[in-house]
Amino acid sequence: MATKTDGVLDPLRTISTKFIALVAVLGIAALITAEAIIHQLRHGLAVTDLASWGTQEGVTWGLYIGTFEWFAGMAVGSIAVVGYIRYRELTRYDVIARIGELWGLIAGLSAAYLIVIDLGRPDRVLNILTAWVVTVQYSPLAWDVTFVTALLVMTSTMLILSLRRDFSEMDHDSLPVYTAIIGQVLTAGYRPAEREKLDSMLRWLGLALLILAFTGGMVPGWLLGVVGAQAGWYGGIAGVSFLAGGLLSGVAAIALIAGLMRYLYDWETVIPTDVLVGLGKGLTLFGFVYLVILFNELLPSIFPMAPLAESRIGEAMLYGHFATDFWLAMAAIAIPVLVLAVFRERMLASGTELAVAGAIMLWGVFVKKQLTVIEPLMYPSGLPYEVGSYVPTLVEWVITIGAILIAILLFTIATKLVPMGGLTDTQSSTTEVNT
Amino acid sequence: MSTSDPPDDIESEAWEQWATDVVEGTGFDADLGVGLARDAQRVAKGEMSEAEYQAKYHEDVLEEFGVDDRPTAPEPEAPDGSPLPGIPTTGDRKRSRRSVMKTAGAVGLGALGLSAVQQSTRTAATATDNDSSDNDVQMGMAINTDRCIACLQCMDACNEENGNPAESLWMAVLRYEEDDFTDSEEFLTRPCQHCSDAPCETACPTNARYTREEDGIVLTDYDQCTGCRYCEVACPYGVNYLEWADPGEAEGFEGDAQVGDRTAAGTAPQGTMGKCTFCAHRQVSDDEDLRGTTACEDVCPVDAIHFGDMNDDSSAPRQHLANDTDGQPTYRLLEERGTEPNIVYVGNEPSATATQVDGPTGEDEFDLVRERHGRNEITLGSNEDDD
Repeated sequence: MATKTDGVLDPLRTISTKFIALVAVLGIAALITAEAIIHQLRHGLAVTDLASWGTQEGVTWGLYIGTFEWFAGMAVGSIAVVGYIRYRELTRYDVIARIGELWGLIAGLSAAYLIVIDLGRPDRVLNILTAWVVTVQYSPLAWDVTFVTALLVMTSTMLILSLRRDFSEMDHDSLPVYTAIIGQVLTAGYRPAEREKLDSMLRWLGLALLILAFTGGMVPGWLLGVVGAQAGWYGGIAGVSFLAGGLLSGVAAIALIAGLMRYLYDWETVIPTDVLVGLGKGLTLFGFVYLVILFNELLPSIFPMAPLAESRIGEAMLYGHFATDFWLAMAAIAIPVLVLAVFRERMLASGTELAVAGAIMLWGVFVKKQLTVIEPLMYPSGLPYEVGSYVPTLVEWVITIGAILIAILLFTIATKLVPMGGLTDTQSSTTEVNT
Repeated sequence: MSTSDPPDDIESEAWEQWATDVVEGTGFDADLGVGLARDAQRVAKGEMSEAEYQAKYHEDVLEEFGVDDRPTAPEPEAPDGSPLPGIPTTGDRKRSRRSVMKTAGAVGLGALGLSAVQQSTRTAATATDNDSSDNDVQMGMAINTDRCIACLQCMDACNEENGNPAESLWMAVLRYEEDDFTDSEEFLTRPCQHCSDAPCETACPTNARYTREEDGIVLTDYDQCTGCRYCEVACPYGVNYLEWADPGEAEGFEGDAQVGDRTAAGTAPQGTMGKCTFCAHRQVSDDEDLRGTTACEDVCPVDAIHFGDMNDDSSAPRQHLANDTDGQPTYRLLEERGTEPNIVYVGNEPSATATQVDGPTGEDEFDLVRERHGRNEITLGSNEDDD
């Protein structure tokens, strides 16, 4: 076995001081976040700047729900990538699929936990489950619980089964003891005869993940899109828009992680340049599609024939109160799309540029998600209410950024616990390059 | 297809010819159409009862159209006369929209079934509207904004009665101006509209928001609510107020929060959603004098608020609408949203471009506030630049 087989296990074999420093910093961030959460649990949502829309002139959903939409989108995009790779059996993208499995799971969990953080009575979150049998008929939030649960279950199944396959090829004695234990558990009862069946299961589970991403994956968009009372949310494009943003941010997150790991572990062979180029193409395509959909979403609202409520929102976004944030977010998506389209091959020779492009685009989607959530609540239509205001408090920022940092911490630790890919037989991978 | 006036005599051949011409244009069974039309005339003249009319054509209508959606159609019942499984019974064995949906959930109807369910519940709702049986009570209000002087006493009385914190304005009087060069101020007295097709209920993921079967009041079960605020974003009227903070010792509701088997009256506990309850504690009170009244109605010095059963033509709101509108227009707020609100306003409807203005009587005169506890003070118009 050549370089590739060894390379993919590098993260398991080394624990550098840089890694320890990173985990320490992220761990401290997690503790600060925990403190902020405890503070919010003690004093209630009053520690946020959220307020009722209407006479209180506030927005009732803010940073938490916006970030929930962002995480949910990344989860959808990640499982779509995983599903595609597993279904098409693109073994060269094996590491990318593992990154997607882990990040899809972590992003899904983060989304779910942010919903709980946003509840006025988080202790009653189980009420949503006990009422589910009835509410799933009409409450979009119940649909969302259904979708996120399906996502978490299917993604963990995919992760467990693909790890079983990877571990079955490995000599457990060469692994760190904790990884070896995980390997023992996951390969319990493994017989070489089951390999064919396992391959087939991964393939069809991949198709199932793809289908889930392109159907249930729109639910967090419908969560807003079915609300007739809010002009900026209501409409048939909400699900598609969410899905496109999700595909973009999912691929961007995976590209960012892949680029960073390639840089950190010198993974030129594990993540070859053509895989980077493939991710770059994904970013270009999904970024472009997302922009086209946003264009379609906003353009009708600024025509003189648009209804008043829609036009106020469109105007605030395009040249009013939110214009700076909105255009920066659009630039953060559009410029990488252009640059990637023009300089693809040259730019993606190393992973760092791809990582930078992914990070910028993720930030753009993040900002747009926040604007989407708060805008209609700030610009109420219908009754003569005033324009509202919203300046997130320190607690909200700490919990939100903390949620992101905790997700990164979980991923960082996961890279030291489980292999990032299987030991692909060098022979076959060479053949694949040549074809 | 002739649209000329029909001949007067429904027994004559000329009428038969005219009716056949009209009905044939529709492509449906002409004999049935003509028969329906002729007997409808008989019903109108009092020669035939609605029930007879109903029974006579029910089978034919079903055969021709597959459904009998006519408002007076007999309510379908399960063979043993009991409601379908899983439905909480209501007094007269009628199915409400909610209970139908609950059944749908119990039998696991899929998304496709949902539209059919909604269709049938609409019919059921229409049937209920036209039925004047004793159990068909729908509490509502007639609010005469033409009489309102924006003294804000209703707001104060509401918060007093329900023990609300100063910022939770379940009743709010909005003072606004139209952009019509008249410089005249108008007022909008805004409690919860207690909609018959309430979007807040559809949004609720825990069934905490519900319509009381007995009197159609929309309430929040404080023991079920998780404080997700989906009801608030789904409501076009902005009547929901989450209790963001612990109300503290000074505040609090002194009455009985129990409404039937749910905790739903008075101020909402911290972290749950509150809104106007039509003083639900009064409606279930043992004191007969309190039933059928609300705090805001009691205190109104100009008799602008009239609370009662909208289906009873002798009730206060119906009497007000029948006799005291002084020629003012009547309307339901944002009726085009399809929420079927149960408050009828008398006066001018605020337009979409109306803007709020300040006035001589502010919330502060009653120790009420607009801004949520801990947020910046609100001055009207301060965010207008953002518009």
